[in-house]
Amino acid sequence: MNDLRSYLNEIDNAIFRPDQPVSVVQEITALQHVMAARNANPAILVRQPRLPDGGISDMPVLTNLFASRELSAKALGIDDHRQSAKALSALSSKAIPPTVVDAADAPVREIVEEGDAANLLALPALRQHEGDAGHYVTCGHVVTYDPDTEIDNMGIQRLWVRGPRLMGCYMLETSHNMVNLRKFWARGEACPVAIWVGHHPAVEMGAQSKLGYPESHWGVAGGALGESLRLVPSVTHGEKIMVPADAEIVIEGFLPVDRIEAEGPFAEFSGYQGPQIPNPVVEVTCVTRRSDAIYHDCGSGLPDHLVPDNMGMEGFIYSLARQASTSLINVHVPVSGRRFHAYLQFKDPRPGEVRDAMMAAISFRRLKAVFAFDEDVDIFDDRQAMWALATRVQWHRDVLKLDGLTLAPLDPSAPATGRTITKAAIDATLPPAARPGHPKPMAPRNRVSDEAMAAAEDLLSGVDMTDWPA
Amino acid sequence: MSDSPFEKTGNATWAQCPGCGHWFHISNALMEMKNVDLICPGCGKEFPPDDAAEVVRN
Repeated sequence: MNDLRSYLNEIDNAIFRPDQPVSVVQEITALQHVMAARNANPAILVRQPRLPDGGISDMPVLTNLFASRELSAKALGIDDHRQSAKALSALSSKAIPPTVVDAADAPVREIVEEGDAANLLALPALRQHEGDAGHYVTCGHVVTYDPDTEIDNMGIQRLWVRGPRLMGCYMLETSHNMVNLRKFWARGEACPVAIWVGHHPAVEMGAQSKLGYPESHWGVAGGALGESLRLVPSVTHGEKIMVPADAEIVIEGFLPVDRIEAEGPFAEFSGYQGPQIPNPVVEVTCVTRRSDAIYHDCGSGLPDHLVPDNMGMEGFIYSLARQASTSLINVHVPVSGRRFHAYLQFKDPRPGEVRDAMMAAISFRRLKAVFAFDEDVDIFDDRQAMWALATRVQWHRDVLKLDGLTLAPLDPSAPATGRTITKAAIDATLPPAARPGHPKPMAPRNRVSDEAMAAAEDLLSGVDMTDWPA
Repeated sequence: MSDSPFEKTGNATWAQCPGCGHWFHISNALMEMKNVDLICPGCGKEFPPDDAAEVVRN
């Protein structure tokens, strides 16, 4: 059985464990900022989270779990993170049905706190950034179900801890959870909800797969893990909402009918603060957890947040664009572009194929711009992407502007009014060779021989470069 | 305000808490919902949009 603990054992030497107390108010997040600036991406396990009242939480805080692309890919069984797009595009076809277990066999049921005994304030939820409305559960997988079909849906949504049993819940209007909520509210019924926190990262990433509606996420999460996911009926909702038996924490409750309240501001994935907006609230009925639960946080707007989301996007975009062009060989959604940019890579595209694929990709609501590159450009290196844009693009010829497309959510530059934006597709591929095997009709790029490069690597191996000028 | 589509304009709306004076970023949709109180991230005070000490709209 794989869970968060088994994974932490696997990556034991990739975890930073500060010995001293670290505050849940910005200090843990500041560690992530410093590490991201240095491109160092260990998981961080804070064994002594200092709470706002100065006390030390008994519950450790785990964060930065997803900051490393390499580790996140390996958690999914992908040896080379550069192959994530293809692997993740195939994930939904590898679903493994879940298994239902008794509550007695569910570690997440070791502690059950119902009614007034439930206390969200006991969780070491972080107040990550200046200006955040409060302490947020940032890695809560929100589970609802479609009342027509009883099929579950799941998505990570930011949750503002407002009291012992009250949370604000950000729900994007187009999300499948919002569709479910609207259906319940149209019937005059509160929407049942359960939120689970902490599991093997493969489960967390698989659970976030982009699926149709209504379509259960449990099988895909199990497929990502490589084994059947163990589920247990929730305390409040029974078999209507199942939760992972091997999660760390589960929060259960309802979204009461038409109860809309202010939620936010919150520092978002874009690197800017999302505004205070109207959102539903969760009234909590029950909290269950392991007796030694680990609280899993996700650093908003940091690689910890962007890497797993972007890898999932790569799989989705690959599926979309590959249908338009079989010369598409890879996709990268770079952290530098947040969720707004995608790099598409082609091998010997036929005339028109690059634009076909770019049009398919740009239809993904989250994207604002797509960029097309040849196979000789390392699309996982932004410097090479910029070099190709600088040297292979003629702006009058290679840029497509597309008006009236769906708005990328939380784009801080989006117009204040209007529901659509203009997107761009930029073709930085070279013109094709006259014949297969002939050189492309462009100046060749500078290079030294493989032998010379190998000799240079050998010469510098073991040389301490830390004091060399940047 | 210019009618030119090429001149940049802002898009963020701000409200100032009547209790503590803290400025915070809010959506226009929230401002327009007169039955939903704003919540100051600085002091936690809840107040109707019309009671904001000041509002900067964009």
